[in-house]
Amino acid sequence: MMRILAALVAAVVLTGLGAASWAAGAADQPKRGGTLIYGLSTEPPDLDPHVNSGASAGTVKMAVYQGLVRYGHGGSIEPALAEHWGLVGQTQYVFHLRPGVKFHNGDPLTASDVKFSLDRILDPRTGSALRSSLRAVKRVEVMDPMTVKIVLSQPFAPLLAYLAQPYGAIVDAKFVQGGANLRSTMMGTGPFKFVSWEPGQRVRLVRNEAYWEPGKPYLDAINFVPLADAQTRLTALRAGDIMLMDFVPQEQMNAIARDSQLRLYADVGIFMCIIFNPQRKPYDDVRVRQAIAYAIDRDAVVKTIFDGRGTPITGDVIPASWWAHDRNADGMYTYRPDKARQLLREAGYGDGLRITIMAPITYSLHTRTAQVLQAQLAKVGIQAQLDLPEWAVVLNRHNQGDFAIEVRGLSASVNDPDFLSLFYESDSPYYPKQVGFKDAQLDQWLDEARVVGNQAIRKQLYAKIEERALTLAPWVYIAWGDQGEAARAYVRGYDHYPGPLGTYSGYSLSSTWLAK
Amino acid sequence: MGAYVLRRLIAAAAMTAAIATAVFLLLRAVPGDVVVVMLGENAASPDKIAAMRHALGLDRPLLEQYTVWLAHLARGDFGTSILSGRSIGAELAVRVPRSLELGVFALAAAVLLGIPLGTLAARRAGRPLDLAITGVSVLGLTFPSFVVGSVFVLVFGLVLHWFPATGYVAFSDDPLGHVRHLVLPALTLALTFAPVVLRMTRAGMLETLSQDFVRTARAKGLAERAVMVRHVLRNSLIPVITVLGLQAGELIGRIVLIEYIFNWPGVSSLLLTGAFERDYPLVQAVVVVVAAAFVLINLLVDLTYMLVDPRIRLA
Repeated sequence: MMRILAALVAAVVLTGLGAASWAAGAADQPKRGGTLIYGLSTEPPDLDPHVNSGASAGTVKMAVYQGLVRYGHGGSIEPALAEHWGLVGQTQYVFHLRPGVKFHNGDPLTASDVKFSLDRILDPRTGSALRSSLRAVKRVEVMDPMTVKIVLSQPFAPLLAYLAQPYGAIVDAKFVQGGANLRSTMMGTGPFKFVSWEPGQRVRLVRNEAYWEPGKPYLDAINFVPLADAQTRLTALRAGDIMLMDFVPQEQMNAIARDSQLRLYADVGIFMCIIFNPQRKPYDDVRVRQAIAYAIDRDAVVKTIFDGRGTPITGDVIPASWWAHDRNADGMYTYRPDKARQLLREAGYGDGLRITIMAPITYSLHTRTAQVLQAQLAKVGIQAQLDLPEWAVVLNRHNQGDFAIEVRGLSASVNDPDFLSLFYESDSPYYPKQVGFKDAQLDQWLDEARVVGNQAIRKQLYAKIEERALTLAPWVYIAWGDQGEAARAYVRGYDHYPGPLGTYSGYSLSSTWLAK
Repeated sequence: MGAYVLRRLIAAAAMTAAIATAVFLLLRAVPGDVVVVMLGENAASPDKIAAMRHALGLDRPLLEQYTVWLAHLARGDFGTSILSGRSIGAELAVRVPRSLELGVFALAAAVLLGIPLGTLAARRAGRPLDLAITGVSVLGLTFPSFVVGSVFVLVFGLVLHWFPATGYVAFSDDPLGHVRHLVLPALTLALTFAPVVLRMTRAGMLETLSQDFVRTARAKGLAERAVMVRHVLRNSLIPVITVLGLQAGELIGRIVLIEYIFNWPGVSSLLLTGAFERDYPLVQAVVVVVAAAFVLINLLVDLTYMLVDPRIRLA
């Protein structure tokens, strides 16, 4: 009797185990349905897909719009609205559109929509984030309803990397010409359809039943809720009021990673740096700029600012995981206080130096970096004062060149080392123009590296560019740090894209599902 | 009496206009540029900035911008937000009721807590119950609303899960959810506010209780309840109303903070983003509306005096 009972118990336990493991297996199969509530750090100021109005707004737009190509899981460029494409000669790209794709209003996608969209991006009145990057585009031609040709004025290696950004969205020409205001409404080909924007409350999207990727998306709907304060956002996530949040505060990442209810999606995504105005004394002297580069203890910065979740940049700022990263430059600027003091002496500041560092008080990452730098610079005889205006003031003063030394947190704007041209090319409106930075050698190499198609040659060029830029030191790099999102554990299928592509992780919302 | 009301109305309108002017000028004096914020850090070439300034009319003389704005304002047109391009009037129409709702519920809760407890404390003056009530009210006064709010979020939202920690649900979408979201922020506001009402009620009652007419009322055999409500409470309410008016003004400021902590989508987030991004017309509109509300509340307080105390009508 006892034996039978034992066998029965064993049988029950085994079936139970079997059921449990079966359930676990089922949980890995994407489940359709449910509404994802996504807490955003910023309410979208507008919904225009061609305008860069911040990473949070970008996430919303990415769920509705698509471009010819996009970034897939892992950051590789994959086909989206273009099924395939080819290069004719060195300056003509021919894109073949995916057949059967419809806009959310039922209009079929055609080559003239693509031409209309690219022309809109290139129109200065649009204020598109892509316009200056696509200046090599001479014209866009409709070859037949499903084929479009982009004609370049010169070879341009990073074209696809730029078009894969969300700003390369294809909009419905008829819809826009019919008077739709793209700043306040959205209508694209993406996995989700725009329903409403209730200011301050939410942006609501629902599943596009006619989406071209089979089976996707899994979610019925997404509500994007603005939650400006990072702490409030995290509180809402912990309470279950929201299921996914962007821009996790760095000092909370380790705690989130330990919490079994939550999941952290983060990767190196932002680098902290110092920008000098070489027109101002004492930064007109390269030795002073280099001295500051040697005076920074980058490991300490990573510990204090990024809670250990980061990597010091001692050389090339191009992420170490990229093909173009120059390993020879690593170790160029390590913490060498003696060398810093020696350079300061040579520059005539052996008795000490008083400086003022500007950083936006709006972002604690920036102000905290400035505070750490203040303490570190004091050790080599530099007395730094902090000037902490709001972000709007920082932007304005930066644009007018009205700063001497500034702390910035930045990312690569594109998955291609061409992002360096924004920093160093003399006609870039980002930095060189404001402070009159001009180096003919850098200009020439940056231009060449953009034109050449061969990756090995490009890599050599970028190595030369980085080594020269590091020696001139108009910018001093400090560290890459993690950036990312956090979600409730039951949110599955979401993916944080590697490195600087992290802000494009919204592409993975089409494969996100809820296991509950 | 009509002349008095009219005089007060004109003064209120003049005050609002003066505030509007001050806001306009102050905003222009603050460094930072909406166009630069709008174009973002990667895309701001000087010619682009100039073109955008021109398109938005920001390159016109200040006086012209001011008169245009004032003329529109006088017609009730708040203009459009520079950043979002949306009608500010429409946005305010959505947001103001939400803040108002929070304020009204907080005020009502504060009055419902403060006046009965204050009356109770006055009647038991000096006894343990009075000491307990006034003691707790001191605590309420001492803790800033953002501390109380954060503690509420932690205790009732994160640990006990009685109420949602943050957020907002429209009443039309989910009436119960709407009220559940309202409880914590409204209660937080009320708790920093009720002690003031309580203490003013208690002090006013104690003073009135020592008056001769109270002794007379009791002497002529009125029930204690009637003495308290008809004679004592009514005569003690003037300072309470004054304080309510002053506090309602302060409440507006506190609502901004509470809306931020609880992510309540009222006017405060509009004001904050507007201020950070230098969206001039938006900030101007919000400040003018808030200032007008403040002036209006003070006006109402003054007019309420007349109802409660006939002597003021003669002044």
